[in-house]
Amino acid sequence: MSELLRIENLHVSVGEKELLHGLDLTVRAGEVHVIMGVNGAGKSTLLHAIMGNPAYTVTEGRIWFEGQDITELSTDKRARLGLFLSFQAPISVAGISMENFIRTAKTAVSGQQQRLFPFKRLLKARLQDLAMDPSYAERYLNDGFSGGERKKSEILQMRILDPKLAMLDETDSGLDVDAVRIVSKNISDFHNETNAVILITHLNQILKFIRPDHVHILIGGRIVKEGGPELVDEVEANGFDAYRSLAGEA
Amino acid sequence: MELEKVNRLPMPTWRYLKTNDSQLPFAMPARPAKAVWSDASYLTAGAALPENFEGASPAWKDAAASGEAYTVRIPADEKVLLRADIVMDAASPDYAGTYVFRVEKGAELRLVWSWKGGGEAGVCALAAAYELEEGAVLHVSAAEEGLSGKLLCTQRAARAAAGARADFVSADLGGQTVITHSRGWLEGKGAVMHEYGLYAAGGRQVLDLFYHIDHTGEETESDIEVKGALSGEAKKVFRSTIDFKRGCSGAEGSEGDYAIQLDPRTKNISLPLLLCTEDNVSGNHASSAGQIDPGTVYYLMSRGLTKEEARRIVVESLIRPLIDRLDESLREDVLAGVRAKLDAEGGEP
Repeated sequence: MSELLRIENLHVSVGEKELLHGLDLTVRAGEVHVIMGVNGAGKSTLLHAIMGNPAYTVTEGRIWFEGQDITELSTDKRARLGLFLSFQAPISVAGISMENFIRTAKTAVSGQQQRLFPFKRLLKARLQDLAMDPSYAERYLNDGFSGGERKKSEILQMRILDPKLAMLDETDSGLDVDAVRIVSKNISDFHNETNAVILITHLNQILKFIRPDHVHILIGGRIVKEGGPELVDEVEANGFDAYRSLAGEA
Repeated sequence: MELEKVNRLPMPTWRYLKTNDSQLPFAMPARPAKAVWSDASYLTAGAALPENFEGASPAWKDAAASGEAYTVRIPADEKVLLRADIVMDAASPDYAGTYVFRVEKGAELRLVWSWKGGGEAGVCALAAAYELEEGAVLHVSAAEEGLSGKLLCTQRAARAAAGARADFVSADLGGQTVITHSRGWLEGKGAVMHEYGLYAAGGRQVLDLFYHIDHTGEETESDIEVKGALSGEAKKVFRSTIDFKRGCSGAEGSEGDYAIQLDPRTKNISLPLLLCTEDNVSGNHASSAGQIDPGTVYYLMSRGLTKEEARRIVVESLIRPLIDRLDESLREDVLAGVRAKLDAEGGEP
C-alpha cells in the first residue's frame, strides 16, 4: 500500500508553549488509524498541525503527503492535495447555504466546476445517507445546528469532497447511539483501499463499526505506545494510567 | 469645499467624544441630472416637505430643494411598482430632488432608487418624505455604485399610521462621502418600520449614517440593522436612536450595527441609542466591530478555499441576508459591486 502521510520528529508550539515533542507517524492508503489519549494530550494539535492551522507553529520536523513536503504549505493547498479535517467544534457561517458552500469547496478541491443538477443529486443522496432532511441543503452553513447535526455536516462534507486522508477529531462526541451508527456507516462507506482515516475518539462505540489497523496512545505530546485493535480493549480495561509513566508523567 | 455639521444626535453626549455630529464636506448641486421614472403617471410637479422634516442639516435640505420636486400619490388599495434611475455622468454629475410620497389607505408601493455614474466629482442631495395611511405598505430599495468621486446625501422621513408598514433597504457601495439621514414616526397602532443598510467601503470613503425612529403608537415595531465591511482607510459612523414615547405600550424596537474591519487603519464609530418614557416596551441594541475571525477563515480554507475567497465569503455571508431584502432587480448588481469592491481592496492589510 502506498504511503500517504509521513511525519518525522514533529514539534509543534502555540506561542512559547510546545505541545508536541517529536512525533513520528506514517499512514498508508487503505489504513484506519486511531489516536487515543487523555484530554490535553495533543491529539487535536496533531491534526491541526497536519492541516496547517496557522495558530500552531511547527518548530521542528517535517510533514510529507504523498511524498511532497507540506510542512510550509497553506491550509487550502493541503485541502486541495486531498487532506480533510472534521472539526471537533465546527464553525457556523450564517449567510451562505450548505449547498453553495459545499459546491464551492468541491470545485476548489477537485479543480472542476460542479454542474448544478448532478451536484444537487449527489448532495441529496449523501444527505439521505446521513438521515438528514433535504432542507439542510438550503440552511446556512452549520447555523443553528445542534452539536450532533454539526458533526453530521462534517461527515457530509467529507463524503462529498472525497479526500485521500480524512482526519476526524472526536466526530462521535455529541452523537446519540443511532447517530453514531449512521456516522460510522458513512465513514465505512467512504473508506477504501485508496484513502485513509485518522480517527480521534474517547469512545469505543464508533470502533464497534470501524475496525482500526493501528492504534496510537498519545500522552503529553508524545506517542507512547502503538499497536493494533487490541490496544483499544487494553485502554478500555485499564485506562491511561499505565501509559502516563511511559510519557514521564506521574 | 466648505464643511457642514450633519446628523446631530437627538440626545448629545460628552463633547470631548466628538461624536454628537459630523463635520463633512458640503456643496450645492450645480449641474443636476434628471431622474427617469418607470411610470410618471403617479407624479405631479411640486413637493411640500412636512414642517418637521429635519434633514441631515438645513443646508442639505436646501440643496435638495434646489432641484426637481414631485409629489407621488398612490391611490387607496392600489399596488404599484416604481423605479427611479438617476445617472450622474460627466455631463450632469450632480442631482438634487425633493419628493413627497403619499401611500393611501391599503395601498402598496414598491419603490426602487438606482444611482449610477462615473468617478468624477459631483453632489447628490435628495429629500424624500413618505406618508403612509392606515394599512399602507411601502418597500424602498436603494442602491448606489460607481460614484467614487461623489458627495451623496440622502435624507428621508416616514410617518406611519395604524397598521402601516415601511421597509427601507439601502446598499452603499460608492460615494466618496455618503450621508444618510433617516427619520421615522410610528404613530398608529401596529405600525412597523424597518431600516436595513449594507455597505462595502474602501479607500478613504466616509459613511455617516443616521437613523431615528419614534414610537408613539401602541404595539409598534421597529428594526434598524446595518452591516458591512470597511477596508483601506474607510471610516463609518453609525448613529441610531429608537425612542419609545409615552403611550407606545407594547412597542418593540431593536437596532444593531455590525462591521467587519478588514484593515486596522479603518475607523468605525457606533452609537446605538435607546430612549424610553414608556414602561411596557422592549428595546434591544447591539454593536459589533472587529476583524475577521481567523478561526472562521481557517475552517473555510480547510475546505480548499484560498484566504482571499474565505475572507470574501465571510463578508458576503454577513451582508447577504440584507442583499436578499433588496428588490430583485438590484440584487445581482449589488452583489457584483460588493465582490468588485472586495477584490479591489483585497489582500492582507
